[in-house]
Amino acid sequence: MDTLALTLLVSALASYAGATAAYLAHVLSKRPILATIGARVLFVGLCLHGVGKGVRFTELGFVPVTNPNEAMNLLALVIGIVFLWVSRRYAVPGLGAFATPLTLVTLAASLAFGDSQGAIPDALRSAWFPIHLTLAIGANALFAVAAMASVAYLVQERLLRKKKIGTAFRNLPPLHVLDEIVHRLIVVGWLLMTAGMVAGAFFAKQQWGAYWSWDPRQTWSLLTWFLFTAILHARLTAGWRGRHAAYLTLLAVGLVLLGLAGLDLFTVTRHGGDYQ
Amino acid sequence: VSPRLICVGVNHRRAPVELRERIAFTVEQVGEALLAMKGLEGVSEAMLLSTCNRVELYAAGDPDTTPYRLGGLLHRFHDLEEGVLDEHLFRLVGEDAVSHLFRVASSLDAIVIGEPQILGQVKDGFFRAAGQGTTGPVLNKTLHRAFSVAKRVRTETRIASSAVSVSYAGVELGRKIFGDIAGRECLLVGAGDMAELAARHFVERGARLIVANRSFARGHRLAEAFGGLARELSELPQLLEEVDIVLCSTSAPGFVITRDMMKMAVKRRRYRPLFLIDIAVPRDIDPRAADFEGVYVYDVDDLQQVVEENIEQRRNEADRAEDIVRDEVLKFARVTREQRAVPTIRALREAMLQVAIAEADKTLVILGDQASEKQKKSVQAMAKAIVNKVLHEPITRLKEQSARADPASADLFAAVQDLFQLELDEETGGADTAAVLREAEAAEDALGDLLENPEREYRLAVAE
Repeated sequence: MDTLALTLLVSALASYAGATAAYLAHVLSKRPILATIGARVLFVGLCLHGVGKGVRFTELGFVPVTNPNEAMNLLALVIGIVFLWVSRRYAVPGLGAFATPLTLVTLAASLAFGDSQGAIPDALRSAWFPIHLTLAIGANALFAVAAMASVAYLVQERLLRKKKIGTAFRNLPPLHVLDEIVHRLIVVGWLLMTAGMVAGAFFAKQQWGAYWSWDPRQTWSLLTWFLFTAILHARLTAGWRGRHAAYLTLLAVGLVLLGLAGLDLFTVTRHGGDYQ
Repeated sequence: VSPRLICVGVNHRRAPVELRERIAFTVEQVGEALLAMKGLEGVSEAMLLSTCNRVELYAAGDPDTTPYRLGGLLHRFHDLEEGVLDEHLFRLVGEDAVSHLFRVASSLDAIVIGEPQILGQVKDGFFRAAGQGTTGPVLNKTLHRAFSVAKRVRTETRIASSAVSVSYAGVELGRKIFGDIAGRECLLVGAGDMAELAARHFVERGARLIVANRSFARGHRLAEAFGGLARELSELPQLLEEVDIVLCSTSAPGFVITRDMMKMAVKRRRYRPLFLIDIAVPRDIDPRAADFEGVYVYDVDDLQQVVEENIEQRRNEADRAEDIVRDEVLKFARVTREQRAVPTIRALREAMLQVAIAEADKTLVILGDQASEKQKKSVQAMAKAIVNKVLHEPITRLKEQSARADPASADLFAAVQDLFQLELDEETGGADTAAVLREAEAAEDALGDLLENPEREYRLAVAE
């Protein structure tokens, strides 16, 4: 990676750290201004991050998402954008204390684990690849923010039940709003995931000759897809909202994360950027 | 002598309610009182503030005589024996009066610090005075700043951001569960005063009210007053399945809402959150009702604890608010002093320039055609330059003096005005009535949609 792109990405990382600090301080203090500062610093970080990816793109001549690390890098950017949008749409700055650390950690991990090779593998030159990738990253970013909203819900619910009505309780969003955010993000995330899997199947047909071949990653994503479907179904039929929904969301997103990070270590998969 | 802000009055700390109510002004009396105030010798502007916690007369006028004239007026207006009020009245002049007004408008002088009603009362007071034509540059300028200070206090501190009354604490918690209270169903079980107060808060925020009372007739009356519905108390199990918020305040000796009743309701509710507030002593709601998913039970002690923490928090925030007020008083005083010099300086410069230009014109007439256009221009420019050079030091000195709080500086202005026989323009005070009212509305907006009225509960508690 050339120094310009790296400088931009490291500056973005520093901004995310600043935004995280501001949002955490906001939830624990009585200064409403801190949330505004957090949002502005995060916005600057996202711009730096975006420009950094743009520089990288012109350098390489292809979208720099050819391996899991690069995908994670882009995921951090999209998580940040999704959170900023949610925080404006629902007026829930308190959610920042949970979402910005995630952006920070995701970008830091991607930077720590290295960089893509100089050339795009031939296999990824297919038109299906960017479609599959965009949908998958979009879905995962929405799920990630839904998971953070679930954590916020569980914290808030606990404070309410234990009758600890302090500064943190006051600065975190209302339960109903968090529940609503979790639900909507999962609905949209589920739609993107479904479309992404369909696109992935076409991609697989093109590359491997079959729509579905029970590759470990395919199997794993099918499993998580069923889980998300079950979450939506349980809410509609049994009224599983609130705490139930929050726990299930965390479980599902945890499995997605395990799939992203751990699958390569324990299984042999043709899926992902490091295969030849 | 330039008029200064004077404030004479009593507040809840200075006088007991028996006295305050004797000197309170009714709405009908305000106009007459304002005109009487302005009619006093040495008084140029007048405004008054009469609420259940304070009666305060604000005026612009002679700082030496006005405080006593206002005190005398207060006695006469209410037919009080002379001197009855003397030990209770505060008489504030200049910066002290400004500071007091800023604190009142920012709700730092209230019984319950941060309560929002006072801002509207100050605004009304100003609006009436403006309507009566008794306001002027001093009050306009000071009130304009008072509202902007109130706005600053509200945005920079959390002095008014949390409930300080038990009845309102319920609403605050409700908002943290449901986000928006509007459209939620609030069930009132029993119809005690306290519960009614809490119900009023919910209804003000758009909740629909259902009343279930042992006496259906009484419940019906209450429901009608709030635009709600009355149901029989025996329908309670059914109602628990439907509503979002329950307020209990019956005098029943045992639990009105039992754990079993809740167990039935929860399943049918499909885990929709239910917020139960128990204001009754002995309690109406079995605390074990909170064992179920999405059911939250708060009793009087829980709410009281929330309120106490909030009051403590407000006190901490009040310290910061006091700092803001002090800072703003200093700033206001400095700006006011600096502005004091402006008319004198302007008049001095204009008088000198007039002389210089007249003399230059005379010279040019004598020179006639001998001088070229360019030379004529030079002569005029020279005349002006001499004035500016000569006045540079004196004007700098006047500005320096005006910025200082030293009362002797007023003598300096008087001396300059006397020496040069200056006619000062009438001072035009920056803000007009409309600008002041705009600022007041901006300050009210900074309050958000807080409708709490802790003093109502306070009065209820006192009455009990």
